[in-house]
Amino acid sequence: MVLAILAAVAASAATAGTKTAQAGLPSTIHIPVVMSQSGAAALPGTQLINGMQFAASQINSTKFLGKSKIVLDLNDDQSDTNVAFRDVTSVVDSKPPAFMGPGVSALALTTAGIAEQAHIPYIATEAVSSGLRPYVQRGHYIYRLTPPEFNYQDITFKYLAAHNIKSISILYVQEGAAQTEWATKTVPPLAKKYKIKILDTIPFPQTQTDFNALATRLAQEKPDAIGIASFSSQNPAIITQIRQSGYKGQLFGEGSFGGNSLVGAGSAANGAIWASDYAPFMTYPSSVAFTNAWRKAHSGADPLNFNAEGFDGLWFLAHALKRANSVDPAKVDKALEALVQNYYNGAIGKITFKRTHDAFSPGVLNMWQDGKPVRAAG
Amino acid sequence: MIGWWNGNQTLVHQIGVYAIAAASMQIAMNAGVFSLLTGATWIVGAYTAAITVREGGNELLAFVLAIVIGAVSSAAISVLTRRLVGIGLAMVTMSLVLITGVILESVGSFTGGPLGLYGIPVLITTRDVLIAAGIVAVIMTVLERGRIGRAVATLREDPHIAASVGIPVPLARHIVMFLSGALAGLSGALYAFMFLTLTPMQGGFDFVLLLLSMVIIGGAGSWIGAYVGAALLIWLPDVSTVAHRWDGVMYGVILIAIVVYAPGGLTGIVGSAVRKAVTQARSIFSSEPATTPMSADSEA
Amino acid sequence: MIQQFLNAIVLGSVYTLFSLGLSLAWGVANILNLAHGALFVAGALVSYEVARDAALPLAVMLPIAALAGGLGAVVLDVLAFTPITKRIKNEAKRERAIMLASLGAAAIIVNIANVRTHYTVQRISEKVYGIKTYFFWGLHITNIAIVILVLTLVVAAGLVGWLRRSTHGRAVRAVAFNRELAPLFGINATRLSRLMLFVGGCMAGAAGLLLATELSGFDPYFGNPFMLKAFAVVIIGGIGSVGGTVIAAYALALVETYIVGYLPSGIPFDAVAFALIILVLVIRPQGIAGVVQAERA
Repeated sequence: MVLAILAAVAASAATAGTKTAQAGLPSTIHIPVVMSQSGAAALPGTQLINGMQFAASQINSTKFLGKSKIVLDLNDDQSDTNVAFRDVTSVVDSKPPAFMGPGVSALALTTAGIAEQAHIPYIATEAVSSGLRPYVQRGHYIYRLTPPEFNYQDITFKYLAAHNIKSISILYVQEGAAQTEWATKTVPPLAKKYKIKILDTIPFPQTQTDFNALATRLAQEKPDAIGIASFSSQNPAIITQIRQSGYKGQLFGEGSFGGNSLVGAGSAANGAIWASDYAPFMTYPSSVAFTNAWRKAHSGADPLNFNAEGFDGLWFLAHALKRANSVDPAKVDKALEALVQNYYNGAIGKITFKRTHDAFSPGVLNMWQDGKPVRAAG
Repeated sequence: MIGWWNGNQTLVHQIGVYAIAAASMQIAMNAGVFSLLTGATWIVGAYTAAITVREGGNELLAFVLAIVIGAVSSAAISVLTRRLVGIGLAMVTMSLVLITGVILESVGSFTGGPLGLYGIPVLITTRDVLIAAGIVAVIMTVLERGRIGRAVATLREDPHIAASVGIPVPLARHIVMFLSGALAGLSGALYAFMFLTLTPMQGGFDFVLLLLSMVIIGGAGSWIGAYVGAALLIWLPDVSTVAHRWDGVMYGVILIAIVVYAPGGLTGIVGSAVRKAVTQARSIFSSEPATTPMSADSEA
Repeated sequence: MIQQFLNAIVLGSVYTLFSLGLSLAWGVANILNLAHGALFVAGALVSYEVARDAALPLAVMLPIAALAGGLGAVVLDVLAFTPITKRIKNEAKRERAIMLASLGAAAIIVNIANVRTHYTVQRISEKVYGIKTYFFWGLHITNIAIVILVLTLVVAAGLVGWLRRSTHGRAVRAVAFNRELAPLFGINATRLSRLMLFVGGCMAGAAGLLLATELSGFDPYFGNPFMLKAFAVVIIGGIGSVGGTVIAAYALALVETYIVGYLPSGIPFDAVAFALIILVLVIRPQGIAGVVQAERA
């Protein structure tokens, strides 16, 4: 731990960067960004971009890359595979040092294929589908800086076990890749590990609006806790209707509980827990540094996890550019490959790569309390 | 020109794939069959092609299977729904499209479940797509001309008259749907080998709506309309980068304007303008003006 | 068991409120308005915008939401449906044109809603109507569910009474039976269509506010799932039939609720509505005669 803190301090010292001569880097480094600014994924997309832009302003103002400045070239993929495909194709044709790619998993999968063929490094943020797993390995060109959530779900179950939860029922939206994976692949082994019985696992379609029948069924099964993995737009309806059915037990969820999606559920969501990769109350030094800097720059507003993820993605690339001292994609890829051999102190905490290109981080347990997430007391 | 080509190959590639899918819908609508089944046959074709290659089949087999399965299933549905016309047929075929998505999602590991298929190899080039689109255009041109063209026009305008002049109406419908399914399967396979990923709901409501808009905005009377509509709607998001925020409004206004004021679509507008200016210019679209589908539609 | 029945009755009321307007416009005015779901969103959106500035009580907000939907439908009729009906005489082409124009209108409304809601779920201020849950005899129901239930019954009964008793209502039924008869009754068919669209739009708008309140929020796409159910309801119940729509709505809600409540999990219950549409139309195409003509040949 001491070492980690020292490393974090060292990293921020490096951020203050005193080196000047960066002969290999041009005065302006254009980094293309293909991200959803409109369409279904506009909200996370825009917030990821905000995080990247915040990182770019830090990189430039601290002269981290000497006289070189990073400029983000934004492309809106409109949350659409067709548009993303075209954007990414023209982006890789321009032979950038690397690019920041779509946050939507389906779009990221298409993007990964193009990046592979073009041999251009692709920094993925969000895009947590396990479908990307074959691409985020050594020798490939994709680097995922946002840890897939199955990497840090253990803390949720540790909490449940500690609070005497013996049985759970699970509800998940069948069209959601991450949600389906959570409900059918991540939860069962963890439940087994902590000796929790799964009473029922119920998929529901994306088009479901009325959850009363499901809520009644769940209430009758009397599980100690109910796990919910839905699209964030469905969370308020599900949670209120479960509470209206008289259910008083623990509610827990996954990533879709984040991004303030529980606001609509009002007090019904109080006490619900979920694990996330980032939360403003994290105490890891590099996380605290990010949170404070963000608040200062945004008149006190707390950053969202998307902001932290976008921030980490671009900063990581900046480290690679510095190491490569070149905008040649092959050299940048080599530098990225070297960086993932080590750990990295990001806004989301200590990121390790376990000999892959895929991020792992401990995550943090959130509890919803009166309109905002707070640290869930173990 | 070469520079443009290099920068826009993907755009051309995508337009080709969507043009063939739109033609699949147009060929049915032009014969008076308001079927939206293309969404289902297209996604089934795409999955068939991707799974064939995954299971060790080659590219040619993948295309053949996608086309055959698309065509046969489309004809089979046509037989089942033979008593339906108009909106009733549209609703049944749309329901089938939605159910197809639910089935692909529920089958499990064979279709990849809700996650769909990914890591599909790229097996085609833009040239292949252009060749396919060219062949389809030639076939469609033949079908729109001469005796067949007249028969199709009669079928569209009034099935009862068609029956009375000796056109085997139900059979003709099944043949049209067979062709429509084949085109959808072809387009689906081309899509699969280009986009690398497929998800079960990709052929769903939004896709059907997009194809329908291509056909209507381009002009339902001829395959040219489907191609023009595809080119326009695929290219539009690229040009209107400023207007992304309002693309739904833009799209809605165009659709309403075309439907209300120019039912023949863009090709219809151009067609009638040309007809007015130079009477001989009729031959641009058809050697026999009486059956020029655009004239029938734009006067409707 | 009884709780699930209660759930189904509330859900059935929601389906009824949403489907009746669609059914009336389709059956009487011969307009399949695919923007019906978007008018529903418009009702929720306008309520959300109004409630942000001034949280008026539900009794005041309901007419506002209803008007938002109703006026939206009238604008659509003036700009698209009436011109189409005047210009296109071929019935199949007219139907298709109306369907497409209404899809275009839906795209416009959804786009506006997306921009106004910042592409995310928004909640109508709780000051408009605070939700309470009543528990009794081991059952539970919310106050908003009671409002929906009562309002649906009032609207359905009101419509039936109006169609049976009033001169206008009888004219509506005559036109629904045969449009050619309209002039004989001294009825202006265009105005009658517009009235039907307005009434249907009002119901959609009001339903938008009620549902956004019941579901603790709305997003610009939340009309779509209801449109799918409404198709099934209208086709099973018979287009333009108030009684048929009511019965079909409650029947569909019961089937769905019991599948969700009691069958093993994992059954794709969303497919029930689609399957019913296919079954009814393929087996009995004359079931929606007037709109779908069975081939005479």
